[in-house]
Amino acid sequence: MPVDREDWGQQIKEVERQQKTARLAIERLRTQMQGDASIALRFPDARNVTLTLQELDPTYVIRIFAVFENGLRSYWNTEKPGKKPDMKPLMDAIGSRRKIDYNTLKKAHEVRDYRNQIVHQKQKGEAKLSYTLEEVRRRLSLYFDRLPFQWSD
Amino acid sequence: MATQQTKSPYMVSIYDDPGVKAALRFTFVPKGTNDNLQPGQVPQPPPQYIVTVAGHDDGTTFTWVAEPAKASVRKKLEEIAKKRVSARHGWLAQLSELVRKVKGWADSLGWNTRLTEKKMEDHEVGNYKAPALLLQDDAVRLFLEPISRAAPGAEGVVDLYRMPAYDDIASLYYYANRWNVHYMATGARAVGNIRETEAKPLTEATLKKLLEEMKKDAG
Repeated sequence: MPVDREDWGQQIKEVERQQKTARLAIERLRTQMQGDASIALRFPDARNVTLTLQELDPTYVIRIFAVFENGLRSYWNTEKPGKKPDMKPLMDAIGSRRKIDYNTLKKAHEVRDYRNQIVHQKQKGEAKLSYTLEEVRRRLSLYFDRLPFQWSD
Repeated sequence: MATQQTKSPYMVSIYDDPGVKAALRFTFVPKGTNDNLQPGQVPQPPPQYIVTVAGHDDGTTFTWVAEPAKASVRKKLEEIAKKRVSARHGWLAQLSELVRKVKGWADSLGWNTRLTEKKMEDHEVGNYKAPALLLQDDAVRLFLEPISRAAPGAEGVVDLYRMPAYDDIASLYYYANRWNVHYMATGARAVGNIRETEAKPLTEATLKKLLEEMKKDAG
């Protein structure tokens, strides 16, 4: 069955869209709570609003990277059926096969490192990585755009 | 298949009819069939009412596969189905007109354009493929992507991105009987009311200005 690269690109973008909706809803809740202290009493779960906002981007980074990974594996399965390498070698292999420029590949790997930092709660090297979801989407989309227009899943 | 989850006495599933081209198959399942079970009573499988629906608005036709016994129920279900297929048709017609118009303007401005499709999931009107548009001039590549048939304050939402990064440029909302372009500022926060953002009616002049700005930004 043919798979369009754009379908995956749109799915990556959709995650960002949902994050923006979630952020809007949570920020509005926080504003409301600042004006009405009884909200926290009536809805105990609302007390987590500040922490939820802090964790929103990292949570959606994990989601967006999962979509990106699934898209890469969908393509890679047509090149090497049944093979499931780890993400680093997979991204490198696709980068080599699709002649992805060094800068695009490097930036996508930095997102991978950031995602791993979030999931495994440890940082690589001295600097703690941090990117907005918008930047993550941008980097992953630029990498993904180097895949063929279409492949068969 | 799309399954409706809003408040309604029926669960409604909509999918492409397997036997009739361009028709939809609706399945209605009444909710709460076993709500008032007495102790010892065995739950019964709820009935399923199945109908093939073709056409839209006054031209809607119904071919029942499994119809309810009561004519009043059948009439009610046909009303629900007719409303949904008509909404689906109206939205797709509106979208096709938008894409046709933008394509025509962009073509006349020397841009290369390519029609494409986007798979949409919609609980109310079933899954469908919506027209989308890719535009390119030299190194500038844009994508006009349908997002939603309805949103608070609007009867249609279409986004415009700079590709390949999917950077937001503008959103098009249908209200006041026309498409309106709402520009996105980089890093702008989402607002609750779309009409709060800077907006202009979509016209050939608006599009021309927007496309020129894209080319200028690209350097």
